[in-house]
Amino acid sequence: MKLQKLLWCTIATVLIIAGGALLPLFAQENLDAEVDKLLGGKSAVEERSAEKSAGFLDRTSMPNIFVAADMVGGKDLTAQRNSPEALTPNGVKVRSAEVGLFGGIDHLALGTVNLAVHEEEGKYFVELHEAYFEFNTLPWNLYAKLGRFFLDVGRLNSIHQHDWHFTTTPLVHAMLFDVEGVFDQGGEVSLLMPWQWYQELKVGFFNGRSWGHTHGEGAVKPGPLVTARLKHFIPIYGELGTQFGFTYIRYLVDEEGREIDHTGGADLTFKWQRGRYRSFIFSTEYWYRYEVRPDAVQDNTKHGFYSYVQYQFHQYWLAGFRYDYYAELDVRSSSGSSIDRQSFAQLLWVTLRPSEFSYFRITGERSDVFGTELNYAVYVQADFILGYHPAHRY
Amino acid sequence: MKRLFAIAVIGMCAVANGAFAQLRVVTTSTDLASIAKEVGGNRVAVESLTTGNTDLHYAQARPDYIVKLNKADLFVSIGLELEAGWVPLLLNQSRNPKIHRGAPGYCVAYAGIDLAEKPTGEITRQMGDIHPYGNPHYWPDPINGIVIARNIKESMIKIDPAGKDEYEKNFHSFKDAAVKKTKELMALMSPHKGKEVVVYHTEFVYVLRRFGLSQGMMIEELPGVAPSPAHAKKVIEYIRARKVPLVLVSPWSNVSYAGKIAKEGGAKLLVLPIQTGSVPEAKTYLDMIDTSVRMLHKGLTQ
Ligand SMILES: [Zn+2]
Repeated sequence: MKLQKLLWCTIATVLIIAGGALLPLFAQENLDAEVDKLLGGKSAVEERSAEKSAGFLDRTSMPNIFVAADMVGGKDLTAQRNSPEALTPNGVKVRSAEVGLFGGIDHLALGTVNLAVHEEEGKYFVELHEAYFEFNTLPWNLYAKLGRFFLDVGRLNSIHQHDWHFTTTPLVHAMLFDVEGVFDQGGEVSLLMPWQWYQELKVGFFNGRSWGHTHGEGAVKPGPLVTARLKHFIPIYGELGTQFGFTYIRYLVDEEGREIDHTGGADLTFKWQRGRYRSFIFSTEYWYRYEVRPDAVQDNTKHGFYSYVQYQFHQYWLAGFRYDYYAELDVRSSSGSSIDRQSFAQLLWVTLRPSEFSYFRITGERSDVFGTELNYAVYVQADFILGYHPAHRY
Repeated sequence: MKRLFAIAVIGMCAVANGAFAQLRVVTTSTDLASIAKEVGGNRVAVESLTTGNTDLHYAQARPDYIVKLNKADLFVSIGLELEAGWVPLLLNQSRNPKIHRGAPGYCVAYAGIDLAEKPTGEITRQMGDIHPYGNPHYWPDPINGIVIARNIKESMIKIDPAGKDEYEKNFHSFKDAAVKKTKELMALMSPHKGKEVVVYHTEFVYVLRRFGLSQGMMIEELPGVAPSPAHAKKVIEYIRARKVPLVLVSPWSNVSYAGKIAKEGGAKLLVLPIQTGSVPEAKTYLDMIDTSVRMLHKGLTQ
């Protein structure tokens, strides 16, 4: 039996070697025949719809599916915990698990549904994050989104939390938006400007019954929540480019529409990338809010920003730093004088990203919220994604 | 004055006409752009989104590409998920249904190509995540260049039937040039038949196959996965044991790491410019093939 095997192996090897030596000669002489044979096969026109590429926008009946899990552990190094971040101060938890479905609905639109399982005070519950149409076949350079989704305001709000480059929410977002961003029901229409360079104007109208990530119904308002955004991109040199935008949001707070929040923002990003080995990002967002309060002693003014840099120094390793600032201006103190209530935070992190589908991050955070005691904390984060990975936006 | 005005109007119409008649072709890579230019001739204006030294697996979804796609009549991509990290998002934002997947203006260049490294059996991400449908780096084989040209030609005819004769004519002269070049280079490479080379990323398999060379070990552990020290040691031992003469790497891969492995194993490092425009000599697609194969020949000769 063994001998027979050996014999067969020898014959096979001899044949392979002989074939290998003869094949190139044979190949050259039959090149014309090979070309004819190849050209006799299916062309792109015939095979266009046969591409089984899950990453491409297709109109097959099966949607693309992804599941993302986000785990965070935190440890306070000082006694006091003032961070607005809704993390369990000491311990590890699955912050959220998200299931997303995405695909072509019909010849006119795409559909997306994102369900998130959240932890709040030890209990998990399922929440509908997003469910929307995307009309990507509209005329006149228009594009529209309809349904429930994270508002496209500034940079961070519309990026899913598991895709953020850092673990905790910037102070200004936690205070003026929500720890996980603001979503609402409504629609957005955007126009790609007909220039040779990229400029996009977007306006949105939403229910505006509540603000942020609340789970209640909210109250019916006399007018919608309105958003407007102007976004630009300018290539600088090679793989370095910059994107910047301006945003305005109008939100009616009370049922009579007398209390109004006007929020304006500017965001700026520089990005550079060399293949899979090196990348750099600098990104910053500034937000300013003027709260009209006819019944209060005075109107409120709040503002803040975050800026961060992240450098990829190895195929798998990245390091970053973020600076947060937030202030409520001209606040009446107990003595009656007017003061600015300020908050600061600094974060330093290292991320290990072995593939597009997982990462591990350790963060050190120093925060000083409204002039109370300095707080130091350490976070560890582990995230993975199964299935389809949506492309990274610029 | 009247005459001047008439001339101006006629001139403007001619300009507008000329501009209108030109088919706007946008490709993901410089190789596709070069081939599209050959096939389209004067009837087309071609632009590649990336440059000759971009790693097409990891290009960025730059918003200025949206503007280019917005104005395109024909979009040509390599496919097989090579551009999956950046193209779908751009197409979705292009506001140009003419080039959406399934539309006549969407051309996948790989149709009809005999794919290498096609996975058999179950596909899981534990096999690495970037070549799920077979090896997508098929353009460095000039015969595959002919198939790409055929695919582009048929898409052009579909959108612009009036140009059929010209596209056919251009395609046939490109095909003849490519076959001639291939035969010339095959003769050049004939002394090296059966020689084995080590590669960093498996992106040379088609050019090696065409010219009678074989691909030995990969320095990457899996496509897209950096080598562990243990794997690197195995590759070095492999190079030594089999006296592998060359280690091939592309300019956009980890050149210094490949250099270290080559040095320790006692092989030569060759940075092979397998994309049009990667080096100044590789001006057109066939120039790129010529440059790369002559570099291979030189590397294997010395
Ligand atoms: Zn590859």
